[in-house]
Amino acid sequence: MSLATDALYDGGSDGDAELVRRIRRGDEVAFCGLVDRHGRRLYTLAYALLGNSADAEDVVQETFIGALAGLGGFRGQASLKTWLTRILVNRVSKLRRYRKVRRAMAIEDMDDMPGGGGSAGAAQADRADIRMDVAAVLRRLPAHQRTVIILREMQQMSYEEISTVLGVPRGTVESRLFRARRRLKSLLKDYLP
Amino acid sequence: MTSCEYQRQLSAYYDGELPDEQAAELQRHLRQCESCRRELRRLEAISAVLVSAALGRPSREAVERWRGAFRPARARAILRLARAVTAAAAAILLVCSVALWQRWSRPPESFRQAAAWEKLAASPPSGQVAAAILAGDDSAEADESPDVQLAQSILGSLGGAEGSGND
Repeated sequence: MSLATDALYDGGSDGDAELVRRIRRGDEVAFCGLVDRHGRRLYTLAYALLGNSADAEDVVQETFIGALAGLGGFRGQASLKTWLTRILVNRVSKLRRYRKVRRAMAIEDMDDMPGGGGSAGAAQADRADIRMDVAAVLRRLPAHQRTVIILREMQQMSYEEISTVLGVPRGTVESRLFRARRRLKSLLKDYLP
Repeated sequence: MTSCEYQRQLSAYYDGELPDEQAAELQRHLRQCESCRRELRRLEAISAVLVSAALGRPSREAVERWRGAFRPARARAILRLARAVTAAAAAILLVCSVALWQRWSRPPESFRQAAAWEKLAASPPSGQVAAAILAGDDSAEADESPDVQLAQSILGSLGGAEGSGND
């Protein structure tokens, strides 16, 4: 998928449409608005895919830079959210090809989470445990299953949006999700009824 | 349809992605099948765990770095455009220069004819040749060019009084 990206924008969100128009005219404030609107979500996705905060921050940075470069060709059929997600997923794939991704969260990443430093209460510690477990479980999924389950469960994207992001048929998205959930049933059995 | 086949549809049904007709059929099946209802509850639990994990939160420094990416990216884009325009202008200038050089390095026909005049002026034909030409002697040696013949005839009539040919 090139970033050249035949990114498509449907203009469905008036806020995003206005942001795109202003950014194209060189409005830096509008770009900051784009970062504020989508940065956290993109970071969460990158972190789930990569399991590393530093890599996640770098990938999100590259995503916004790529978006700036490709905004001129942003024609408009899919949402800005889908377009940005597609750029980020491409960046993650590229990073994976050149770097070895850690399979388990590094001990220093615990500082990213509430309670990770050992100074929080029991609830936060439980949440930290869940995050570690989930991150470790996701690492055990094949990359293509991990990506679809994260896009569906954590990003709340529709099958059509996921299909657009990954450039695969809708049926492929459906079957990958089915297989990912089947695998997660056994990996997360301690959390299931 | 067997229960196993319905269970394969549960994932899409849970996501609200089944076509209406299939979703309605599966809903009817769920009323009768405890196995599929249990499977649906597992899918809900998986979702709850994944969503509750809410992995990661960016640092404030990272967010500021993302916001600050605008100016360097714009500067790079302007620089790329300037380089492309410069390269195009240089290519056009080169082509025009080559075309002009080729034109100037080859003298036009009128210049070559003027050079013939100059040659004649520098070494006019002998008076005998000029006389022969004036007398209409076809055997006289003469340049076939009409202009040179004219020049020879003029020079012949002018130089005939001097009586001797020049080298």
